[in-house]
Amino acid sequence: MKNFKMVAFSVLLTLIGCDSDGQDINDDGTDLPFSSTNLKGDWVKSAEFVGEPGDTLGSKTPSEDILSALDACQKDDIFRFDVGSSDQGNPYVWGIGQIACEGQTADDFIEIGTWTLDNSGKLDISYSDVSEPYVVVSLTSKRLLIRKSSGTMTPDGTVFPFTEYIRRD
Amino acid sequence: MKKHYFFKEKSSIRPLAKLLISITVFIMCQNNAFSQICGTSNITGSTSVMSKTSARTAKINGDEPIVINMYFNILNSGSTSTVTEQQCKDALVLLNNRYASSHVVFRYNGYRNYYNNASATINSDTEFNQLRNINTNTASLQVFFVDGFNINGQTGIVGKAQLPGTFMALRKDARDTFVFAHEIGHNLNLYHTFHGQACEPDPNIPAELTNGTNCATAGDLVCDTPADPCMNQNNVNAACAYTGGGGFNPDTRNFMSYTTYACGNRFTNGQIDRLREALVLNNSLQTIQVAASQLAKPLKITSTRANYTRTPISGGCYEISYLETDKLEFQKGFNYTITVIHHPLNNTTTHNYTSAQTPLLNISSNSYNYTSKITTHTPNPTYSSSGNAGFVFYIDCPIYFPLMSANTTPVQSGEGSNIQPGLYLVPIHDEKKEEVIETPKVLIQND
Repeated sequence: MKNFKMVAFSVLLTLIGCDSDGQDINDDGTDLPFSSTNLKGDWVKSAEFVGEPGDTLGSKTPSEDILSALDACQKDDIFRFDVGSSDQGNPYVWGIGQIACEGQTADDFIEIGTWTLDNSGKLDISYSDVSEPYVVVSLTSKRLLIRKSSGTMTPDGTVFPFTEYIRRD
Repeated sequence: MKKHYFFKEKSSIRPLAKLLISITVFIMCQNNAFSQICGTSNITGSTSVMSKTSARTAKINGDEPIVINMYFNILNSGSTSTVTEQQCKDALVLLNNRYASSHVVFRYNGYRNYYNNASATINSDTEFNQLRNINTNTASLQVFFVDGFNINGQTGIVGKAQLPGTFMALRKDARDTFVFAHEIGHNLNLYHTFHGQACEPDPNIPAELTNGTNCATAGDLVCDTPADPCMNQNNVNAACAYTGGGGFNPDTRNFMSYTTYACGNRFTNGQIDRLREALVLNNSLQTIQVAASQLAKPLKITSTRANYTRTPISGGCYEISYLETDKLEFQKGFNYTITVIHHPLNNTTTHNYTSAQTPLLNISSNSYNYTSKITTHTPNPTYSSSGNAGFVFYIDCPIYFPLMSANTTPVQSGEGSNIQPGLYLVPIHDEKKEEVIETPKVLIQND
């Protein structure tokens, strides 16, 4: 019975640990300091789930898998963390990707806000008169894991929305 | 239109993943550690998980007041304050009026000025986000009144807020407008009514359709706010009618839109549900909340003394008497009934105040008990306490302490004490030994 649990658990994590095309997203795993330079670039979602703090893919079971519910046209969306001038901020850009959903144009890029990151991992994405706070959980040369800084209290503890990205560029 | 999901109400997980998750959850349910997920009653103390959930649901959907501590921080570029404490309290009255239908109430919890501050104007996202480091007290929602904004070349910004979160900034001259309520709405997890539209695209949340059929997963994620095609002050007329056309009928009265100052005057029931849900379930919004009873607690109690007399008697002592009056100030903006029992005669006085009055009580009883009840909200926030005032008479005799820092050891008064020669302070204390009334100098010489 114990072995069966382990097998089922491993299969589930393997499923979540791959991107939508089943591509292996492992990298050398070296953590990088949290800095604008290291975050800069184009990223694509590889996982999106709700889980407990401290979650990293492969260590705990996410309580809700969100990425699998997305349409293919959303899964290839690109999230560009650009570095701009001090008076214009760092552009946060949404790229539509090669598969466009209805009403969108393939490979279109839209600046949707700005972002700041401090060396403790506080990531704030700003648009209009709003600043949404996130926490960078881990950052390597190829992989980025963030979560919202605030979570939802449940009878089992507080859970947070996590998003994992792999570097595209 | 493609579907977007972020905080989905219901997930449509792919069949294979669904099967595997089901198997895994079934296996985990065999383990006691996961019994809560599986709906098994798990008793913690005397409160079951189920009853906790029910209590939270009741609080979200009910009218029970949820009280939030609010602290005002004034950023001044010069050396004088540009917003007074009273102006902050007046702004708070207006804010509470705007939130009245939600039964979310803001409690005045303090005021502080920052002088010669180069960041009295917020010049970047970084400067805004660093506001959280200026006042790190997590017991209050931190409000920063600033001169203005110049972020990424935009100077027309009136306010900015964390979503969700515990701090916001507002232009000083907008403190009495509905923009204050708007920014606090962001703190309490409300999106703009036009969220997801072309003026505010979101990769995870699409625009709400004109007919609102996707309202649960689009726009502001609230279904009783109609789709808003980026309405702004240029397409809302003096009668608060939307003139932008396009088949849209946005709510020109909604606080979370970009309507005109004159028109914004309401939250919808759906928005109220969403912000109350955030206050009950969002972990980052818990420390700023206090028990409803604290709303009825005096903001400040000050004591004043009158008819002070000080008569020398023998032994270097003095007879001191005065009449002490306690002034109790409560937060303005609510209807109050305040009952005071004056001792030792135990006579009772009742004081009623309307929301337009500032509740102020002057009490000169020797000792008293009081109960303050806010009748604006149900159940009534109620606070009880006691105090001492009235006629005070006592005899104060000197206690000797060294004057100079070199004499660091206090000298005990009374018979048999060996007082070293030198210059001493002879402090005359009040009854509670908290305040030095006089500090005459006394020279002790050798015999």
